[in-house]
Amino acid sequence: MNANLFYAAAALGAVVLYLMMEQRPAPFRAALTVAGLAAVGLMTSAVARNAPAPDGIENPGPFWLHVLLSMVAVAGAARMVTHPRPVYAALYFVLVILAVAVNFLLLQAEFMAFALLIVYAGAILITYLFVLMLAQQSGDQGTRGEDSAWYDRTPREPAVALVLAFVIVAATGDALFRKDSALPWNASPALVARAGERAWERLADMPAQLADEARAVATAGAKDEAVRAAIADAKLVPLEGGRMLQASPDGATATATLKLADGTTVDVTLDGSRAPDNSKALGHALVAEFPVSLELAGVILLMALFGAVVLARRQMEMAEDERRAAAGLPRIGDDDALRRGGAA
Amino acid sequence: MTIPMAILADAAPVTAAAPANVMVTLVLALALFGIGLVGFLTRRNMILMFLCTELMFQAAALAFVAFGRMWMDLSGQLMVIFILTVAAAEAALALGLVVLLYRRKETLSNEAWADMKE
Repeated sequence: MNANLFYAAAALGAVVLYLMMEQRPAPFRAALTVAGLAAVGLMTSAVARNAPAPDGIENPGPFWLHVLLSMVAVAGAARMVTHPRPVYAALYFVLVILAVAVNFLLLQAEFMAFALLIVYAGAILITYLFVLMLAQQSGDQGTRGEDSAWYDRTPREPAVALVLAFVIVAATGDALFRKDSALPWNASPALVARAGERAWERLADMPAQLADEARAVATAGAKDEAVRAAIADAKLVPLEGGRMLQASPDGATATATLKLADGTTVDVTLDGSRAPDNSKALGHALVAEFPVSLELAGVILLMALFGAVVLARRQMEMAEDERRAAAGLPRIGDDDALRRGGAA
Repeated sequence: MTIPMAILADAAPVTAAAPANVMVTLVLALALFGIGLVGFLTRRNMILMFLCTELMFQAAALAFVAFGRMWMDLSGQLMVIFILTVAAAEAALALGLVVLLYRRKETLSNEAWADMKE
Protein backbone atom coordinates (compact mmCIF):
# COMPACT_ATOMS: atom_id res chain seq x y z
CA MET A 1 0.00 0.00 0.00
CA ASN A 2 1.58 3.29 -0.97
CA ALA A 3 0.28 6.78 -1.30
CA ASN A 4 2.27 7.96 -4.32
CA LEU A 5 -0.71 7.79 -6.66
CA PHE A 6 -2.69 9.82 -4.14
CA TYR A 7 0.01 12.52 -3.98
CA ALA A 8 0.13 12.64 -7.78
CA ALA A 9 -3.63 13.06 -8.02
CA ALA A 10 -3.65 15.77 -5.36
CA ALA A 11 -0.82 17.63 -7.12
CA LEU A 12 -2.60 17.41 -10.50
CA GLY A 13 -5.77 18.71 -8.86
CA ALA A 14 -3.87 21.61 -7.31
CA VAL A 15 -2.35 22.56 -10.68
CA VAL A 16 -5.77 22.40 -12.38
CA LEU A 17 -7.29 24.57 -9.64
CA TYR A 18 -4.42 27.05 -10.04
CA LEU A 19 -5.05 27.33 -13.79
CA MET A 20 -8.80 27.73 -13.18
CA MET A 21 -8.20 30.83 -11.07
CA GLU A 22 -7.91 33.13 -14.11
CA GLN A 23 -10.44 33.55 -16.90
CA ARG A 24 -9.48 31.35 -19.85
CA PRO A 25 -10.61 30.94 -23.48
CA ALA A 26 -13.04 28.09 -24.24
CA PRO A 27 -10.59 25.43 -25.59
CA PHE A 28 -8.34 25.94 -22.57
CA ARG A 29 -11.34 25.52 -20.25
CA ALA A 30 -12.25 22.23 -21.95
CA ALA A 31 -8.67 21.00 -21.49
CA LEU A 32 -8.84 21.97 -17.82
CA THR A 33 -12.09 20.04 -17.40
CA VAL A 34 -10.46 16.94 -18.86
CA ALA A 35 -7.40 17.39 -16.62
CA GLY A 36 -9.64 17.83 -13.56
CA LEU A 37 -11.57 14.67 -14.36
CA ALA A 38 -8.24 12.90 -14.86
CA ALA A 39 -7.23 14.02 -11.34
CA VAL A 40 -10.45 12.55 -9.92
CA GLY A 41 -9.89 9.35 -11.92
CA LEU A 42 -6.32 9.09 -10.63
CA MET A 43 -7.61 9.58 -7.08
CA THR A 44 -10.22 6.85 -7.68
CA SER A 45 -7.58 4.41 -8.82
CA ALA A 46 -5.41 5.34 -5.81
CA VAL A 47 -8.34 4.43 -3.55
CA ALA A 48 -9.25 1.28 -5.51
CA ARG A 49 -5.65 0.02 -5.34
CA ASN A 50 -5.10 0.86 -1.68
CA ALA A 51 -8.45 0.07 -0.07
CA PRO A 52 -8.40 -3.19 1.92
CA ALA A 53 -10.27 -6.02 0.21
CA PRO A 54 -13.80 -6.62 1.51
CA ASP A 55 -14.01 -9.75 3.64
CA GLY A 56 -17.59 -10.83 3.06
CA ILE A 57 -19.53 -9.31 5.96
CA GLU A 58 -19.73 -5.89 4.31
CA ASN A 59 -22.67 -4.40 2.52
CA PRO A 60 -21.34 -4.11 -1.08
CA GLY A 61 -22.59 -0.60 -1.83
CA PRO A 62 -22.01 0.71 -5.36
CA PHE A 63 -18.48 2.10 -5.54
CA TRP A 64 -19.11 3.71 -8.94
CA LEU A 65 -21.92 5.82 -7.46
CA HIS A 66 -19.53 7.16 -4.80
CA VAL A 67 -17.04 8.02 -7.54
CA LEU A 68 -19.69 9.77 -9.64
CA LEU A 69 -20.83 11.83 -6.65
CA SER A 70 -17.24 12.70 -5.82
CA MET A 71 -16.75 13.98 -9.36
CA VAL A 72 -19.86 16.18 -9.11
CA ALA A 73 -18.88 17.49 -5.67
CA VAL A 74 -15.27 18.23 -6.56
CA ALA A 75 -16.20 19.89 -9.87
CA GLY A 76 -18.85 22.01 -8.12
CA ALA A 77 -16.46 23.00 -5.34
CA ALA A 78 -13.67 23.90 -7.78
CA ARG A 79 -16.04 26.04 -9.84
CA MET A 80 -17.39 27.61 -6.64
CA VAL A 81 -14.02 28.90 -5.49
CA THR A 82 -13.02 30.12 -8.96
CA HIS A 83 -16.21 31.56 -10.46
CA PRO A 84 -16.02 35.34 -10.91
CA ARG A 85 -19.76 35.84 -10.27
CA PRO A 86 -20.68 35.43 -6.57
CA VAL A 87 -24.26 34.27 -7.23
CA TYR A 88 -23.00 31.48 -9.50
CA ALA A 89 -20.50 30.48 -6.83
CA ALA A 90 -23.36 30.12 -4.33
CA LEU A 91 -25.35 28.04 -6.82
CA TYR A 92 -22.36 25.75 -7.40
CA PHE A 93 -22.24 25.29 -3.63
CA VAL A 94 -25.85 24.04 -3.79
CA LEU A 95 -24.59 21.42 -6.27
CA VAL A 96 -21.90 20.36 -3.78
CA ILE A 97 -24.54 20.08 -1.04
CA LEU A 98 -26.74 17.90 -3.25
CA ALA A 99 -23.83 15.57 -3.98
CA VAL A 100 -22.88 15.39 -0.29
CA ALA A 101 -26.51 14.69 0.68
CA VAL A 102 -26.72 11.74 -1.74
CA ASN A 103 -23.41 10.55 -0.31
CA PHE A 104 -25.00 10.63 3.15
CA LEU A 105 -27.82 8.46 1.82
CA LEU A 106 -25.29 5.91 0.55
CA LEU A 107 -23.62 5.95 3.98
CA GLN A 108 -26.96 5.07 5.63
CA ALA A 109 -27.33 8.53 7.20
CA GLU A 110 -30.81 9.11 5.78
CA PHE A 111 -31.97 11.64 8.37
CA MET A 112 -28.83 13.76 8.01
CA ALA A 113 -29.13 13.68 4.20
CA PHE A 114 -32.53 15.36 4.29
CA ALA A 115 -31.62 17.63 7.21
CA LEU A 116 -28.66 18.79 5.14
CA LEU A 117 -30.88 19.55 2.15
CA ILE A 118 -33.45 21.42 4.22
CA VAL A 119 -31.11 23.35 6.50
CA TYR A 120 -28.19 23.96 4.15
CA ALA A 121 -29.64 24.16 0.67
CA GLY A 122 -33.00 25.43 1.87
CA ALA A 123 -32.13 27.94 4.59
CA ILE A 124 -28.46 28.87 4.84
CA LEU A 125 -27.81 29.11 1.11
CA ILE A 126 -30.95 31.21 0.55
CA THR A 127 -29.69 33.63 3.23
CA TYR A 128 -26.38 33.84 1.40
CA LEU A 129 -28.13 34.48 -1.91
CA PHE A 130 -30.25 37.23 -0.34
CA VAL A 131 -27.18 39.00 1.02
CA LEU A 132 -25.30 38.57 -2.26
CA MET A 133 -28.17 40.17 -4.12
CA LEU A 134 -28.47 42.98 -1.54
CA ALA A 135 -24.81 43.78 -2.02
CA GLN A 136 -24.81 43.32 -5.81
CA GLN A 137 -23.00 46.02 -7.75
CA SER A 138 -25.24 47.53 -10.42
CA GLY A 139 -24.18 46.66 -13.94
CA ASP A 140 -23.32 43.05 -13.14
CA GLN A 141 -24.68 41.51 -16.33
CA GLY A 142 -22.26 39.14 -18.09
CA THR A 143 -22.41 35.46 -17.17
CA ARG A 144 -18.66 35.05 -17.80
CA GLY A 145 -17.94 37.67 -15.16
CA GLU A 146 -16.30 40.21 -17.47
CA ASP A 147 -18.02 43.01 -15.56
CA SER A 148 -17.85 41.54 -12.08
CA ALA A 149 -16.16 43.65 -9.43
CA TRP A 150 -12.33 43.54 -9.59
CA TYR A 151 -12.14 41.71 -6.26
CA ASP A 152 -14.23 38.83 -7.64
CA ARG A 153 -12.05 38.51 -10.73
CA THR A 154 -8.58 38.61 -9.18
CA PRO A 155 -7.62 35.85 -6.75
CA ARG A 156 -5.19 36.71 -3.96
CA GLU A 157 -1.94 34.69 -3.90
CA PRO A 158 -3.36 31.53 -5.55
CA ALA A 159 0.04 29.78 -5.69
CA VAL A 160 0.71 30.18 -1.96
CA ALA A 161 -2.83 29.07 -1.06
CA LEU A 162 -2.60 25.98 -3.28
CA VAL A 163 0.79 24.90 -1.94
CA LEU A 164 -0.53 25.27 1.61
CA ALA A 165 -3.72 23.33 0.84
CA PHE A 166 -1.72 20.62 -0.98
CA VAL A 167 0.57 20.16 2.01
CA ILE A 168 -2.39 19.86 4.41
CA VAL A 169 -4.30 17.46 2.13
CA ALA A 170 -1.23 15.31 1.45
CA ALA A 171 -0.29 15.10 5.14
CA THR A 172 -3.83 14.18 6.18
CA GLY A 173 -4.31 11.78 3.26
CA ASP A 174 -1.14 9.97 4.27
CA ALA A 175 -2.96 8.87 7.45
CA LEU A 176 -5.71 7.32 5.31
CA PHE A 177 -3.34 5.44 3.02
CA ARG A 178 -1.09 4.14 5.79
CA LYS A 179 -0.87 0.37 5.93
CA ASP A 180 -0.39 0.18 9.70
CA SER A 181 -3.42 2.39 10.41
CA ALA A 182 -5.57 1.41 13.39
CA LEU A 183 -8.77 2.28 11.51
CA PRO A 184 -11.20 -0.68 11.24
CA TRP A 185 -11.46 -0.60 7.45
CA ASN A 186 -12.80 -4.15 7.54
CA ALA A 187 -15.51 -4.36 10.17
CA SER A 188 -14.87 -7.25 12.56
CA PRO A 189 -17.75 -9.56 13.51
CA ALA A 190 -17.39 -8.17 17.06
CA LEU A 191 -17.98 -4.63 15.77
CA VAL A 192 -21.04 -5.75 13.79
CA ALA A 193 -22.40 -7.62 16.82
CA ARG A 194 -21.83 -4.63 19.11
CA ALA A 195 -23.61 -2.30 16.64
CA GLY A 196 -26.56 -4.70 16.38
CA GLU A 197 -26.72 -5.04 20.16
CA ARG A 198 -26.79 -1.25 20.50
CA ALA A 199 -29.66 -1.05 18.01
CA TRP A 200 -31.65 -3.55 20.12
CA GLU A 201 -30.81 -1.64 23.31
CA ARG A 202 -32.32 1.43 21.67
CA LEU A 203 -35.48 -0.49 20.79
CA ALA A 204 -35.70 -1.79 24.38
CA ASP A 205 -35.56 1.85 25.53
CA MET A 206 -38.78 2.55 23.58
CA PRO A 207 -41.31 0.22 25.29
CA ALA A 208 -44.37 1.16 23.20
CA GLN A 209 -42.41 0.78 19.98
CA LEU A 210 -40.99 -2.55 21.12
CA ALA A 211 -44.44 -3.89 22.08
CA ASP A 212 -45.84 -2.84 18.68
CA GLU A 213 -43.01 -4.56 16.81
CA ALA A 214 -43.35 -7.73 18.92
CA ARG A 215 -47.13 -7.87 18.36
CA ALA A 216 -46.65 -7.30 14.62
CA VAL A 217 -44.21 -10.23 14.42
CA ALA A 218 -46.48 -12.45 16.51
CA THR A 219 -49.54 -11.56 14.41
CA ALA A 220 -47.68 -12.41 11.20
CA GLY A 221 -46.89 -15.85 12.66
CA ALA A 222 -50.39 -16.51 14.04
CA LYS A 223 -52.54 -19.16 12.34
CA ASP A 224 -56.14 -18.14 12.94
CA GLU A 225 -58.25 -15.08 13.59
CA ALA A 226 -58.87 -15.79 17.30
CA VAL A 227 -55.15 -15.93 18.07
CA ARG A 228 -54.59 -12.73 16.14
CA ALA A 229 -57.28 -10.98 18.17
CA ALA A 230 -55.72 -12.25 21.40
CA ILE A 231 -52.30 -11.00 20.35
CA ALA A 232 -53.70 -7.50 19.76
CA ASP A 233 -53.91 -6.91 23.56
CA ALA A 234 -50.91 -9.03 24.52
CA LYS A 235 -48.35 -7.47 26.87
CA LEU A 236 -44.58 -7.87 26.98
CA VAL A 237 -43.18 -9.78 29.90
CA PRO A 238 -39.57 -9.45 31.13
CA LEU A 239 -37.20 -12.25 30.18
CA GLU A 240 -34.86 -13.78 32.73
CA GLY A 241 -32.52 -11.07 34.02
CA GLY A 242 -35.31 -8.47 33.91
CA ARG A 243 -34.70 -7.44 30.29
CA MET A 244 -37.54 -6.98 27.83
CA LEU A 245 -35.44 -7.90 24.80
CA GLN A 246 -32.53 -10.30 24.42
CA ALA A 247 -30.18 -9.75 21.49
CA SER A 248 -28.65 -12.79 19.79
CA PRO A 249 -24.84 -13.13 20.18
CA ASP A 250 -24.21 -11.84 16.63
CA GLY A 251 -26.60 -8.91 17.12
CA ALA A 252 -28.63 -9.80 14.03
CA THR A 253 -31.88 -10.75 15.79
CA ALA A 254 -33.47 -10.33 19.22
CA THR A 255 -36.12 -12.22 21.15
CA ALA A 256 -38.95 -11.00 23.37
CA THR A 257 -41.87 -12.71 25.09
CA LEU A 258 -45.52 -11.69 24.82
CA LYS A 259 -48.14 -12.73 27.40
CA LEU A 260 -51.71 -13.15 26.20
CA ALA A 261 -54.83 -12.43 28.30
CA ASP A 262 -55.36 -16.16 28.98
CA GLY A 263 -51.87 -16.49 30.47
CA THR A 264 -50.11 -18.28 27.59
CA THR A 265 -46.83 -16.79 26.43
CA VAL A 266 -45.55 -16.38 22.88
CA ASP A 267 -41.83 -16.04 22.09
CA VAL A 268 -41.14 -13.75 19.16
CA THR A 269 -37.89 -13.25 17.26
CA LEU A 270 -37.36 -9.78 15.80
CA ASP A 271 -35.18 -9.59 12.71
CA GLY A 272 -33.11 -6.64 11.51
CA SER A 273 -36.00 -4.89 9.78
CA ARG A 274 -37.67 -4.43 13.21
CA ALA A 275 -34.73 -2.45 14.67
CA PRO A 276 -35.21 1.33 14.99
CA ASP A 277 -34.60 3.09 11.67
CA ASN A 278 -32.04 5.84 11.25
CA SER A 279 -34.19 8.78 12.35
CA LYS A 280 -35.61 6.96 15.40
CA ALA A 281 -32.15 5.77 16.48
CA LEU A 282 -30.71 9.25 15.92
CA GLY A 283 -33.44 10.90 17.98
CA HIS A 284 -32.92 8.38 20.76
CA ALA A 285 -29.15 8.82 20.73
CA LEU A 286 -29.52 12.62 20.74
CA VAL A 287 -31.57 12.76 23.95
CA ALA A 288 -30.12 9.67 25.64
CA GLU A 289 -26.41 10.11 24.93
CA PHE A 290 -25.87 13.82 24.26
CA PRO A 291 -28.51 15.76 26.25
CA VAL A 292 -26.09 18.50 27.39
CA SER A 293 -24.82 19.09 23.85
CA LEU A 294 -28.40 19.34 22.67
CA GLU A 295 -29.12 22.06 25.24
CA LEU A 296 -25.90 23.84 24.30
CA ALA A 297 -26.91 23.82 20.64
CA GLY A 298 -30.14 25.54 21.69
CA VAL A 299 -28.15 28.17 23.60
CA ILE A 300 -25.90 28.77 20.56
CA LEU A 301 -28.94 29.34 18.35
CA LEU A 302 -30.46 31.71 20.93
CA MET A 303 -27.22 33.70 21.14
CA ALA A 304 -27.07 33.89 17.33
CA LEU A 305 -30.64 35.24 17.38
CA PHE A 306 -29.65 37.95 19.90
CA GLY A 307 -26.58 38.79 17.87
CA ALA A 308 -28.60 39.12 14.68
CA VAL A 309 -31.05 41.46 16.42
CA VAL A 310 -28.20 43.64 17.72
CA LEU A 311 -26.68 43.82 14.22
CA ALA A 312 -30.06 44.68 12.68
CA ARG A 313 -30.53 47.52 15.19
CA ARG A 314 -27.10 48.85 14.23
CA GLN A 315 -28.19 48.85 10.61
CA MET A 316 -31.33 50.78 11.45
CA GLU A 317 -29.14 53.35 13.24
CA MET A 318 -27.04 53.67 10.11
CA ALA A 319 -30.13 54.24 7.98
CA GLU A 320 -31.17 56.92 10.49
CA ASP A 321 -27.67 58.40 10.15
CA GLU A 322 -28.04 58.74 6.41
CA ARG A 323 -31.29 60.62 6.84
CA ARG A 324 -29.64 62.92 9.39
CA ALA A 325 -26.72 63.55 7.10
CA ALA A 326 -29.09 64.47 4.30
CA ALA A 327 -30.78 66.96 6.65
CA GLY A 328 -27.41 68.51 7.60
CA LEU A 329 -27.35 67.06 11.14
CA PRO A 330 -24.30 65.18 12.54
CA ARG A 331 -24.28 61.40 12.07
CA ILE A 332 -24.94 59.27 15.14
CA GLY A 333 -22.19 56.87 14.15
CA ASP A 334 -19.73 59.66 13.29
CA ASP A 335 -17.66 59.84 16.46
CA ASP A 336 -15.37 62.55 15.14
CA ALA A 337 -18.24 64.93 14.43
CA LEU A 338 -19.73 64.24 17.86
CA ARG A 339 -16.36 64.89 19.51
CA ARG A 340 -16.02 68.17 17.65
CA GLY A 341 -19.12 69.31 19.47
CA GLY A 342 -21.98 68.21 17.30
CA ALA A 343 -21.16 70.34 14.25
CA ALA A 344 -21.82 68.55 10.97
CA MET B 1 -26.35 -3.03 -9.57
CA THR B 2 -28.30 -2.84 -6.36
CA ILE B 3 -29.30 0.28 -4.45
CA PRO B 4 -28.07 0.14 -0.82
CA MET B 5 -31.45 1.12 0.67
CA ALA B 6 -32.95 -2.07 -0.75
CA ILE B 7 -30.18 -4.15 0.79
CA LEU B 8 -30.91 -2.49 4.13
CA ALA B 9 -34.52 -3.60 4.32
CA ASP B 10 -34.24 -6.97 6.02
CA ALA B 11 -30.56 -7.48 6.73
CA ALA B 12 -28.97 -7.09 10.16
CA PRO B 13 -29.90 -3.92 12.10
CA VAL B 14 -26.62 -2.31 11.03
CA THR B 15 -24.51 -3.53 8.13
CA ALA B 16 -20.81 -2.95 7.66
CA ALA B 17 -19.59 -0.74 4.81
CA ALA B 18 -17.20 -1.81 2.06
CA PRO B 19 -13.72 -0.36 2.82
CA ALA B 20 -13.34 1.22 -0.64
CA ASN B 21 -16.63 3.13 -0.30
CA VAL B 22 -15.68 4.64 3.05
CA MET B 23 -12.20 5.43 1.78
CA VAL B 24 -13.42 7.22 -1.34
CA THR B 25 -15.78 9.29 0.82
CA LEU B 26 -12.97 10.25 3.19
CA VAL B 27 -10.78 11.25 0.25
CA LEU B 28 -13.69 13.33 -1.11
CA ALA B 29 -13.99 15.04 2.29
CA LEU B 30 -10.27 15.76 2.19
CA ALA B 31 -10.52 17.21 -1.33
CA LEU B 32 -13.49 19.40 -0.41
CA PHE B 33 -11.65 20.68 2.65
CA GLY B 34 -8.59 21.53 0.56
CA ILE B 35 -10.67 23.32 -2.08
CA GLY B 36 -12.54 25.23 0.64
CA LEU B 37 -9.23 26.27 2.19
CA VAL B 38 -7.93 27.47 -1.17
CA GLY B 39 -11.14 29.43 -1.68
CA PHE B 40 -10.93 31.01 1.75
CA LEU B 41 -7.36 32.14 1.10
CA THR B 42 -7.78 33.37 -2.49
CA ARG B 43 -11.23 34.93 -2.49
CA ARG B 44 -11.42 38.66 -1.78
CA ASN B 45 -15.21 38.85 -1.51
CA MET B 46 -16.16 38.66 2.18
CA ILE B 47 -19.40 36.76 1.54
CA LEU B 48 -17.62 34.15 -0.56
CA MET B 49 -14.94 33.75 2.09
CA PHE B 50 -17.68 32.73 4.51
CA LEU B 51 -19.19 30.48 1.85
CA CYS B 52 -15.82 28.73 1.58
CA THR B 53 -15.81 28.10 5.34
CA GLU B 54 -19.21 26.48 4.83
CA LEU B 55 -17.56 24.22 2.24
CA MET B 56 -15.00 23.22 4.86
CA PHE B 57 -17.88 22.52 7.29
CA GLN B 58 -19.38 20.23 4.63
CA ALA B 59 -16.10 18.37 4.33
CA ALA B 60 -15.93 17.91 8.11
CA ALA B 61 -19.54 16.69 8.19
CA LEU B 62 -18.84 14.21 5.40
CA ALA B 63 -15.79 12.89 7.24
CA PHE B 64 -17.81 12.55 10.47
CA VAL B 65 -20.52 10.52 8.72
CA ALA B 66 -17.96 8.34 6.91
CA PHE B 67 -16.04 7.59 10.10
CA GLY B 68 -19.33 6.93 11.90
CA ARG B 69 -20.17 4.46 9.13
CA MET B 70 -16.81 2.80 9.52
CA TRP B 71 -17.22 2.36 13.30
CA MET B 72 -20.95 1.59 12.84
CA ASP B 73 -21.83 4.23 15.41
CA LEU B 74 -24.33 7.08 15.33
CA SER B 75 -22.12 9.61 17.12
CA GLY B 76 -20.68 10.78 13.81
CA GLN B 77 -24.12 11.66 12.49
CA LEU B 78 -25.01 13.39 15.77
CA MET B 79 -21.92 15.54 15.40
CA VAL B 80 -23.24 16.64 12.00
CA ILE B 81 -26.38 17.97 13.70
CA PHE B 82 -24.16 20.19 15.84
CA ILE B 83 -22.13 21.23 12.79
CA LEU B 84 -25.40 22.30 11.12
CA THR B 85 -26.31 24.31 14.24
CA VAL B 86 -23.00 26.11 14.33
CA ALA B 87 -23.10 26.73 10.57
CA ALA B 88 -26.58 28.25 10.80
CA ALA B 89 -25.58 30.50 13.72
CA GLU B 90 -22.40 31.50 11.91
CA ALA B 91 -24.25 32.31 8.69
CA ALA B 92 -26.75 34.52 10.52
CA LEU B 93 -24.08 36.53 12.36
CA ALA B 94 -21.48 36.67 9.60
CA LEU B 95 -23.95 37.85 6.99
CA GLY B 96 -25.33 40.48 9.39
CA LEU B 97 -21.81 41.76 9.92
CA VAL B 98 -21.02 41.73 6.20
CA VAL B 99 -24.12 43.80 5.40
CA LEU B 100 -23.07 46.26 8.11
CA LEU B 101 -19.55 46.53 6.65
CA TYR B 102 -20.93 46.85 3.12
CA ARG B 103 -23.05 49.83 4.13
CA ARG B 104 -20.00 51.60 5.52
CA LYS B 105 -17.70 51.28 2.50
CA GLU B 106 -19.99 50.18 -0.38
CA THR B 107 -17.66 47.31 -1.29
CA LEU B 108 -17.43 43.63 -0.38
CA SER B 109 -13.66 43.51 -0.78
CA ASN B 110 -11.93 42.43 2.40
CA GLU B 111 -9.01 44.71 1.57
CA ALA B 112 -11.16 47.75 2.21
CA TRP B 113 -10.76 46.78 5.86
CA ALA B 114 -7.03 46.03 5.71
CA ASP B 115 -6.25 49.05 7.92
CA MET B 116 -7.99 47.26 10.80
CA LYS B 117 -4.97 45.01 11.25
CA GLU B 118 -2.69 47.70 12.70
